[in-house]
Amino acid sequence: MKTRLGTGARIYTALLFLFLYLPIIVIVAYSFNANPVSSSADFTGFTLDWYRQLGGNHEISKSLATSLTVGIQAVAVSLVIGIPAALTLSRSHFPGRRVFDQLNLLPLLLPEVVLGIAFMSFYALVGIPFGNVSLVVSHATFCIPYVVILVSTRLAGFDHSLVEASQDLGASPLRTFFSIVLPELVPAVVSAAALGFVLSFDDVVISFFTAGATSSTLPVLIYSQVKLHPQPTTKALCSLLIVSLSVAVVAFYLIRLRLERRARQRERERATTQADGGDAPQLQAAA
Amino acid sequence: MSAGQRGRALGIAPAFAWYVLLLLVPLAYIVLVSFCTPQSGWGFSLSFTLQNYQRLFEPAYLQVFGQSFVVATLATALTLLIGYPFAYFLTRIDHRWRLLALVAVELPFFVSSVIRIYGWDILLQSRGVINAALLAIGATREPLQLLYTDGAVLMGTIYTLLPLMVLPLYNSIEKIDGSLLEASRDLGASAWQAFLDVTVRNSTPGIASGCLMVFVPSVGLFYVSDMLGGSQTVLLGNLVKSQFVESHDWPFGAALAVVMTVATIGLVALGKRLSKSDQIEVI
Repeated sequence: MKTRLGTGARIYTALLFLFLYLPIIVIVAYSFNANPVSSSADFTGFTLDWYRQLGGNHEISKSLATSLTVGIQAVAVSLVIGIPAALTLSRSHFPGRRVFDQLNLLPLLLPEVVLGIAFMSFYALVGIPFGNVSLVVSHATFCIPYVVILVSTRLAGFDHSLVEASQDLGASPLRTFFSIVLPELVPAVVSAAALGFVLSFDDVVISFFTAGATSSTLPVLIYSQVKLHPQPTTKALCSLLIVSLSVAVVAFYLIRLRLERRARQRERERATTQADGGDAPQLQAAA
Repeated sequence: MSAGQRGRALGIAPAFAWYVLLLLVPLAYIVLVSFCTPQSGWGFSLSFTLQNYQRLFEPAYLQVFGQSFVVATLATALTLLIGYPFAYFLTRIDHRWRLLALVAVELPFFVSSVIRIYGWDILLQSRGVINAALLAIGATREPLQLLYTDGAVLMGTIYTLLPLMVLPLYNSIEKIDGSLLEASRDLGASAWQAFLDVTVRNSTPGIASGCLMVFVPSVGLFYVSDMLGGSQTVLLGNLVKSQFVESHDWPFGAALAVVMTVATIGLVALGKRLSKSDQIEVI
């Protein structure tokens, strides 16, 4: 369907994009403002000083390191826990499946404040150490649902007779997994990992409660800086994050597009091979 | 169940265990704490009490509930009003540009919300960009008090949650069969009537999940009211946070959290019933 939007619709759409991007643009623009009074809108000149000062800031580099390691570890944990769960969900009915589905949605539906205080008080109770460990555990808890949902959705359209065929032809279960199931999963796993990392890297509310007194992630640091005493370097830090996240998101979309195209191509090739065999009408139909 | 099936079902065990031990048990612990007696200063004793729930009815706290409800309702209504035409126009953009437009809608969402709210802080200050612009065009003589107002909190909430409204709306509007619209027009409906009868009616699942995705988190975004609302705007999220990190009255904070959880679960059930669908889209 090719429809041209009317002028009114175009203006409206453009205004909403402006609304979405205005605060982001303002931060980046003002990060180059020489005016050291951070509550002032007067642009007194161009400077890169705030960026230079970032490098030597111990607090910032420590929080950045925490954010990165927590993001990577939380994603790793959620993949290890989430992928087997998604595989199970996609092909067997087991008692308690509905319960699991509800449980899986819980971290996404509950207000983050509730999750944050529940995690914090429980970790204190059972002695999960605050800092890296508590952050990884709490972040993995809200990343697992995305892994389960994305991977099991991907598998819903998967033709399980391929697995049987592979095993009938003598492949070991492990070989079947790596050569038949895994390639099918790659786009979903990449999406889930990227989404999980970004959610972990951006999270404010849950990290605020589970970081503990001595450690901090970047968003928590920015929150406390803005609330107590915003510094000109805060804007430079925010701009760097904005630019790097935007680049990452765009790169991720390009990769995903490519993986999807490749998956479609593989399916087509499979369909042609089967057609050449000539005696697998239902497989052909499924492809 | 065959041995193979049982083996496969084992795959779910770690996730199940994780959810039970690290999600359900912590939530159950909060329920337990909400019935404990707070001790002066810090901590609580295990003696059972209902006083934390009774305190919810004190006028100061009822006011917080009222204010949070107003903000959440207004934020939901306004994001729907603003987001629906936007989502609708997005579905009509030429195919080549559509993916780009969708990425553009999602992109700000991937930038941490504290950063984006900080941008509004810069924009709204008394000597900030918006006031400078208003003064320059002569719309006002004095800088307006924009920051630290209820309006700023409402706007920040709408801003933060808008993508959560637009994406489910977009998904459900896009699924609507175009021939339904044509049929409706052929049968004599005006464009506006066809829009209401076909497009709006068939996108109720998207409307329901969008409203849910906005309403539920809106009462908990304590950083928005902290950064844009100053001290006078206290929402449920701020109240819960302050009980746990400032006044150290965990039992009362826990009671508030339990009320929020129950209300959330009730709303989700209601939303599912209204949209007549079992699936609430979350991404």
